[in-house]
Amino acid sequence: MTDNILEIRNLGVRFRTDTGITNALNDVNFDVPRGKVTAIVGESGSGKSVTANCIMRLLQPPGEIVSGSIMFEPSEREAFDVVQVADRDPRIYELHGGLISMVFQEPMTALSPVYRVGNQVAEAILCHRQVSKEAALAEAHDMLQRVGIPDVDTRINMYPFEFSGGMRQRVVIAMALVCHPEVLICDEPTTALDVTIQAEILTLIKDLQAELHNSIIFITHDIGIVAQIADYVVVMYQGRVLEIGTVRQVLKDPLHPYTKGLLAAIPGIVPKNQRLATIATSVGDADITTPYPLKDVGDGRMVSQP
Amino acid sequence: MSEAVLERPPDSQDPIAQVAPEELDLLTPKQLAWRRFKRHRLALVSGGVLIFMYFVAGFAEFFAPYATTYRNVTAINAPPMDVRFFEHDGTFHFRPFVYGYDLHINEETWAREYSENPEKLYPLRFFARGDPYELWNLFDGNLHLFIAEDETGAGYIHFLGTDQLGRDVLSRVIYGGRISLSIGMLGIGLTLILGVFFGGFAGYLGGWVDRIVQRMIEVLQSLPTLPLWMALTAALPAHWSSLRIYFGVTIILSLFGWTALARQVRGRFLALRNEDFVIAARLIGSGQNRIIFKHMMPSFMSHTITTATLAVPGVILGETALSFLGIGIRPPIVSWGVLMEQAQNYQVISMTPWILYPGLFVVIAVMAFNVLGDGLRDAADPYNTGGL
Amino acid sequence: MNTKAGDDGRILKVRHLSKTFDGHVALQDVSFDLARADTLGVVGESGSGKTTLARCILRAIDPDLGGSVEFMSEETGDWVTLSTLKHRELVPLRKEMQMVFQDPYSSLNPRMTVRQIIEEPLIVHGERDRDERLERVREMLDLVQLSQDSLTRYPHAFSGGQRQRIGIARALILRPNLVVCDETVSALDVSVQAQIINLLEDLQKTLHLTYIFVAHDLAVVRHICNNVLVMHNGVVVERGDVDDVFDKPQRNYTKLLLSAIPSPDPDIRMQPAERSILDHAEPVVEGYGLVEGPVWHDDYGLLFSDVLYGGVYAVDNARQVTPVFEHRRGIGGMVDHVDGGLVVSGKNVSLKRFGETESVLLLDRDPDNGNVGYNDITTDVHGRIYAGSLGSSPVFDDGLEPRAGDLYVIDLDGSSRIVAEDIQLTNGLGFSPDGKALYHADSRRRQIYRYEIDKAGELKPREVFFEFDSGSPDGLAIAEDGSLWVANVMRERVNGDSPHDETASQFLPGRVLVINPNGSERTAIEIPVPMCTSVCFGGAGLRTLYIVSGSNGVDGDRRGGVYRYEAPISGLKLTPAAVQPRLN
Repeated sequence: MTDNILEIRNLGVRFRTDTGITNALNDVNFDVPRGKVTAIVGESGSGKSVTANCIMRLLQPPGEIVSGSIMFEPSEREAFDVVQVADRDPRIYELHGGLISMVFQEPMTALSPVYRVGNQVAEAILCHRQVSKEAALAEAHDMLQRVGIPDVDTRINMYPFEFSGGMRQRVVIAMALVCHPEVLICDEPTTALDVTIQAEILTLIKDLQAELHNSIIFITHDIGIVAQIADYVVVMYQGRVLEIGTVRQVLKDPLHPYTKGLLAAIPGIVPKNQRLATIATSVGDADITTPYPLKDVGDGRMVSQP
Repeated sequence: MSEAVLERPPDSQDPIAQVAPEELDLLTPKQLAWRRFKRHRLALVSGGVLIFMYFVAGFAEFFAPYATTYRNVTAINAPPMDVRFFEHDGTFHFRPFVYGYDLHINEETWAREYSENPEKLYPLRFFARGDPYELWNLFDGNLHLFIAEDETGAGYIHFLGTDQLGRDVLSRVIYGGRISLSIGMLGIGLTLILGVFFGGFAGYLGGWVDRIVQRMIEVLQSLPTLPLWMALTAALPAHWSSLRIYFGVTIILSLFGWTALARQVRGRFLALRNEDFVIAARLIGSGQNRIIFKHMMPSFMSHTITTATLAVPGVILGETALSFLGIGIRPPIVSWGVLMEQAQNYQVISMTPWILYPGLFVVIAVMAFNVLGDGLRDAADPYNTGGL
Repeated sequence: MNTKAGDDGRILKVRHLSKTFDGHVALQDVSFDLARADTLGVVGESGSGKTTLARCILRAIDPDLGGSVEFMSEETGDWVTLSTLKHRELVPLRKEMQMVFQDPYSSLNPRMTVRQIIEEPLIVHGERDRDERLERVREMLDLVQLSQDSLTRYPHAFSGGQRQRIGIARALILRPNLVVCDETVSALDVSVQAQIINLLEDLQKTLHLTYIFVAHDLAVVRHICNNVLVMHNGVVVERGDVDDVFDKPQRNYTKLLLSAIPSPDPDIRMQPAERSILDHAEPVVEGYGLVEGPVWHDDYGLLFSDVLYGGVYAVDNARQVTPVFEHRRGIGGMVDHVDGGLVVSGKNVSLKRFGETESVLLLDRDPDNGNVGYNDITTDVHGRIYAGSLGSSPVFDDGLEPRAGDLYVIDLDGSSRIVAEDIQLTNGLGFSPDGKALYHADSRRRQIYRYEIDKAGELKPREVFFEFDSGSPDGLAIAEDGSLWVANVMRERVNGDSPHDETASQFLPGRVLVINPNGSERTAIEIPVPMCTSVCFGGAGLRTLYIVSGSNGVDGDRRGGVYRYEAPISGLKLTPAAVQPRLN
């Protein structure tokens, strides 16, 4: 068993439309260390969600993977390349929700409005394991309790619309974790939530990770969240990886000009009376549009540079 | 300015939008909508079909070989003719022709049976002089797209057969289309006026006006339409001319058709009223009229036209239903519904199925309107740039 | 900027602004002032009422009657009351105040070109000259750093950040003084957000703009604002200088909000406060005027008085309210009496026995010496009564020279004397559990004093025990561990107005501040209505803290009520008064 549960190599994705071809991902390389939180940070259009969809094999036409591999090595199982697995391969089925599961930005899209939440969580169990409905419901009950739903006995029989946004996201997290996935992908799970609820959800995800030791890919645009939750950081920009390192390396000592610019643009970091940097002013003459390959610069850090 | 240059790529929401090429940026919303509409092939075809149908119905006098009152007493309940290039003996004619009918009486059933008579060879003549007519009651003329006539001046063509009085079904379908299709347009025009008026008032003013209109709509929608139409059309004075009946029927149909449209208009108005750009217009000090006509109307007309397009079939079908029951449009004016009235009898249908042809045109027109409406709806949303 | 009549540097005065949607209160009693060229942040979570506030100010929504928004118009050089103008009358004022919206997509009409969008305000305000309009639009494009070839394009051709620039150009083309930014940068990516923030800051400098900046991102607000209003459930819970509020939040909600922001420094771990700090005391009865003088009585349950509308009531465990005495306004403090009755303070201190209509005078007022009445009263372990006189003040409108009050003691035989002087307002009185110290809350000086009591039972000179950073103290109760539970009226003067102008006060939700015996702050219990006037312990084992609240004293206001909070410790019950009236 290697240290990395996922190794993404030279991943390329393009979207073919009537008006032309866009390269959504270009030569994306990074590892997801086992039992750690890896944050993918970038602005919209950086390709962070496309990357997640590739790992989940959820990429829809007109998007297509044109190159590269995603080696996935679940514990006690042989590694395989997610990209190469055929659509009808049973491993795809195992992948979805069994080995890898996902928490989305908008909890309502992940929940069916017409089923009780208990049944929905139980359904996730029944999809992947041979257990009785009663056993599944009992497990759903436990899981809902674990994600901090108060008064589970009553709430298990309620419908998603009867829950607040934060509570819904807790249910989605319960659904995602109930089959003990090895990788949890969180795609901006707190963006739609108020800041106090966000803090609760982040604390929950962190606590559950400490307990379950699963590997988490956390996709976000918020540097504050990255700082609070991540062990490793992958910085993406326009479909490319610009910088990889531990959270302290990247946030305290950014090497790529884009990362530097991004950090200098955040009001919480920049002193009050100082002007916020924009990418243009802080990058200056540095070239951030040429796709230089990632280079190992020591200490386990990778930076895209000439 | 260098700040703004870098701005575009990281700002676009999804990788698809990222490719939006420069040329798209220069298009107006109308051009964008047209682009989207063009991608909807079936809607494009439907639009073409409808234009064709309206054109033909508009110049019915020219396109129909015969007038609606023309009777071919030698061909009662005659079946459709085949247009041919080859004679039975294989002789080729450059000009297409039809064979005249031979009438036999079936001794067992006493039914009229027609067969082709190779002796009667009537070549088709295009842009030929035929029955005189008054185009739109304005211009005298006798030019027809085609008629069938031999050198002696004898001949007839019944492309879709004839009815029990020997009238040409094709000609009557073309004339009937003029009524049925125009009643659709006229009816929708009235519906639109009523719907926009009531819906607009309810949506813009809100409050008790809204509540009254809403209740009115609910009452109207809860009434069973067909018996009501029947009662109202039956109430139209018997001495009225056919033309007045025609308008009477149109008004009756619109009177009950506007409710759905008014609901849509109201909903749209309510939604638009709270749209940020409308609030922005209010905050710069625009007056009510300017807000409604300059800011809300354009966004809302495309939507309304779409809805109206989808509502045309309802009017056409309504007229057809009423006329079919014999209480809508009255002869001598013909509509598709009037033509189908003859098809009420099972025996008639089994003996002369071709008199059902008007029904086929109803189906085509209704489907075309529906598909066109779908296409318009997809094209109307200015932010629907998916796949462009 | 030339100064005109009535111009005192303020551009906006908001007073008691409220908005109710179908019975749901979206905004309640918001008051604040805004100085010219200032940037006021309005923060809060979804449903806090911050957007409603912004829209009510600009009359995008009509606020409820009662409140007012006054705007310093540069054109007329005088205050105009925006909240009562007809929409038609507002039109010329639109030139002076504008709004920039949150959603860069829905805020621009998709069917108008950029030129049409930006010049629309000019057309509406009667600029006829096409060339002049075009010239102005071109200027605006330069100002917001958009290229000139944008003119003929439609909004769909622009990115979110560029659209926001178009929205800013539309708002600024009329040269407004006040610009309300409603979540203007919230939907943007970090790097684009930085550009727009910089742009807004630059424009403020060059055009002398005043901003109201509505946002949920506290870091952004801190970066660009001077002052901030923190809103929660339609109410302003805290306001002040942005750095003060963010560094030393006073209210539980602000503390929760600030603790929830994830720090971008991985070495500073986020420690979000428990949501339970928001738990309010729950209402027992509501719908009264100004409730005061709560006292727990073993037979009657909780007794309280309504200063505004009169009456003394008892409320039992089933929340049943029964009147005990009727028609008596202005009772400020109550203590039960060993003979079965209440000693009440108001214009005088008197004993009212249950079931009797006549009351017995214990201590009269003395208007000639500037004593117009009494506020709170308490008893010591012997049953003697301590009562603070009100003195006289312009607030009472009594025509007397302003004079501080005194602290009186009424001995058991009914004789009275002054034991302490120079008392501004006796809002709360109470003895420590050992009876060796008397606490006195002074709401005008916003301090709590402590008087040690010597062996002879006399008061030593006072010392300041606690000072209030925000709001002022009112009634107080003491728990068995010696902690003080002080009703804390969160009323703040709105800048610049006369201190006696009640309409110029911003009432924040009331709270009870718990102060340790050593004078340090322990915690705060909040109630959902403004003005927390007094507290007392009661119920089984005296473990229930009863909190009473009042309206802001305006006739017709019935926001007063009684609230309860299960305290983690028992309170001290006041010793019943044993004073016998002296028969003259």
